[in-house]
Amino acid sequence: MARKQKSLSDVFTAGFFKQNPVFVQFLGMCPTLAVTGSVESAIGMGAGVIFVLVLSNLIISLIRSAVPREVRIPIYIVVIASFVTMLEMLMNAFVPDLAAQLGTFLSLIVVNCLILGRAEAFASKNGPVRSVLDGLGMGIGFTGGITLLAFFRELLGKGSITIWGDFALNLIPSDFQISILVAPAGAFLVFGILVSQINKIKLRRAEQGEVA
Amino acid sequence: MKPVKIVVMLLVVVLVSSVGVYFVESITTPIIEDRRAQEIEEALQSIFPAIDGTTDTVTSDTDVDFGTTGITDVLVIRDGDDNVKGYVYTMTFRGFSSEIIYLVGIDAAGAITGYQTLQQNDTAGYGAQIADEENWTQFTGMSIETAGNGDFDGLAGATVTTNAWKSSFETLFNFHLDTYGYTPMTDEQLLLQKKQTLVGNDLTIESYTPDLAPGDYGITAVDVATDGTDNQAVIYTVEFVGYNATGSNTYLIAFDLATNEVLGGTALSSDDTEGFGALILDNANWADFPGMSLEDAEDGNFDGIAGATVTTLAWKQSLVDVGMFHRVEFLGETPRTVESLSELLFPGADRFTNVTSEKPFGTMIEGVYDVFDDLGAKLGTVYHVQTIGASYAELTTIEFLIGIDTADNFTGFYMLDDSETPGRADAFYADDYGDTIEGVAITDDYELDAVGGSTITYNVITAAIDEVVHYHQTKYILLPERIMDALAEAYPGAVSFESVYSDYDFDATINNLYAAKDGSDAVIGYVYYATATGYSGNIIEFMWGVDNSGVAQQLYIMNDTQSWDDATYAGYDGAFGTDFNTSTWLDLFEGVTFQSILDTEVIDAAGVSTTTGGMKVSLERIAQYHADQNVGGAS
Repeated sequence: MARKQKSLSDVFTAGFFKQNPVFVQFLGMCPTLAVTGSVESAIGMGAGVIFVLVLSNLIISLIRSAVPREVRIPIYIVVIASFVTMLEMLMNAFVPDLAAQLGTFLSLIVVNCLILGRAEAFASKNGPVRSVLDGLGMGIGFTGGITLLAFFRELLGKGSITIWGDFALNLIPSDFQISILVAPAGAFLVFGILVSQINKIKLRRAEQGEVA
Repeated sequence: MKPVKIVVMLLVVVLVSSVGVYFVESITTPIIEDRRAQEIEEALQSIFPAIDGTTDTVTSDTDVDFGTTGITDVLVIRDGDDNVKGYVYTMTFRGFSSEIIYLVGIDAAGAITGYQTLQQNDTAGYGAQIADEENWTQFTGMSIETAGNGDFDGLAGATVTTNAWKSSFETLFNFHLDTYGYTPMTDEQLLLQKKQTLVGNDLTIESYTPDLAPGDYGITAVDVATDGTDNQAVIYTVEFVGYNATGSNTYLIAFDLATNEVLGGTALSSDDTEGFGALILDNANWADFPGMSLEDAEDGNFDGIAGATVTTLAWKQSLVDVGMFHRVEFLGETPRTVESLSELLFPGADRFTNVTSEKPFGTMIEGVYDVFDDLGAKLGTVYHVQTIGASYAELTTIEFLIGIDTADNFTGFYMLDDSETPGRADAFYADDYGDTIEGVAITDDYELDAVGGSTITYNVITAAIDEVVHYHQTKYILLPERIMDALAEAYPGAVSFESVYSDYDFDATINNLYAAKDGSDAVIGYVYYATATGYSGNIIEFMWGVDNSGVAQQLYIMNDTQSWDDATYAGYDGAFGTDFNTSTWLDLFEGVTFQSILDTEVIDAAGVSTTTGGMKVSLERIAQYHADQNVGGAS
């Protein structure tokens, strides 16, 4: 019996919580840990990933029937790399500060397994509309995940949240800041704590489901 | 067929992707290049301030091979005559976690004219400090060789980025030396350049000969910056001693002559402790100065150096002197000498004679000035008093003048200077402050207005005034005739006397010490003018002579406070006479050597032992002082 196809809204929202790329699928860990020192760079990275993910999903789903199975991965990589290159150029031209902030991690979107993963797992098997929605949903989930991580790291590590220099939220005096959290090691700590809390919630829900 | 399909499909995808990338690249590249050029152009003025937008030309040097130096561009700046003025390098290097791009300007003499980090993405709080301007200012004026040797401050906690940064500068220095070379500036040229930086490049700096003696104000050189017609600014080279008493600090400070605002300042040298007082060399500690008013500079309204309180205080004090010099030399204000200010206390005075060196030491007395009218009659005395201030935060001083006329009345009080908490002690400066004590006898209670919030300062001042009054009454020669008479009594063979107390240590019981001279002005002995505590705590004032061989001369009692008339009730048998002042007991201290008085105890007179005991203590102390101080080499 063929599996029932998911509705469009399910496709779109799957990445938000149920299959969240950051906290559930553990995809795209490199930027997750590297650019979450500030909310600003996390949002920027998220926007970049959405751009590449949506467009690569779209193109790959459009050409999926013409792509020989043997060379599908190189072709997906070429498509993804092209979009990442374009993204890099566009960001350097129009949002240079953000591009500088993201640095080399912008280029590393090419090897972000979230993108290749969705290309292989979804776009290569679904139509363009569903693929675009999947890319968008996963991208938003990814952005939300890394932004949440960045929020805690920046808030606790720097005592404030600053977005594009205009919006600043100063909450914690310097004596009480935990500066290691904005250092690379802090990413692992905060990520581990967040994952444990999410798992705790999932476990509790599962237990409640069993009881019910 | 399948292999063909694979090849074709790969080819098509690559081609379409390439076209897409090419299309986006053609749109973005001009934008990126324009922006980078604009950034460099904007940075150029701060990187190379000497650039003249109208006559200078800026060209990129395309003839050199940068190799693996990390240099991406060199702009060569030439003046209107095609002489090279300097270079601006664009450098890249790999920091801890990002590519870092910076610009650095170097003039023809190899001095760095400016530095700016254009791009970095290092760890916040660590390598990212390279983007903080406070880490850039250290380069201005530094030789590229110094920077190439890595002799500049790195980034705290960011060892990897700092090492890479220093390595990048080393590469830059080697490249610069090999490619362009440079003739280092002489010390004079470097100094001139620093002065020029303070006043701007449009003005010409000339040496200035002031009317005042700048050395009196700690100023070692005065220069003016002229536009060809008028002097627009003045630059002082100032020297002061900070924490390290064996060395000094020197700095430049420039004032605008139109507004009298500070144009800027910079330290030239410091012998103070590295990391503390020597931080005066850090231009960040001079950041408060540009635009500061003369008053604020004098009041020390700037941050100073954290952790270097003594040097900061000395620095602020030196600015008070600079301000004083500036006011007199360039603003035409009356010099604030003690003599000129003393006129406020003695309006009818004709001259003030500094007699400090003739007077005995007083702990707070900085100076003593006798005041005379135009006929030569003495009007009184002005005391210049300096005492420790009341600030809890740092060592401060309070300095004031107080006048006492010949009738022993105060003539006024004038606050000369204090370094108390700014804003707190201002009321003490008011012209009418101290008027309330004018005409009050020094022996009477006086009233000075208390200043709200400055109780401790007020108490310090009144305590100092009390000290002056005590000094005036006991240590200062109020009645020359009385003193002269007493001196003659104590040393009958002498023709004249001269106070030599300032040559020896101060002793609380000795009011003064005089050299007794004969007709040929040769010193034949000494006279001690001292006090002892007698019966009922009354003070016995006396003069005691001693010749050059240490033989005591006459012991003369100057006041009549000890009555022996009724001492019989206490068992006094009258053996030495009934009047202390003429008693034969005093003769025991005449015609004998000081040494014998120390060796053999003189007897007390029973029944009047309080008086004789008090006298003995004082006389023995003088004999001991005479020996210890080797007065006149007579010990």
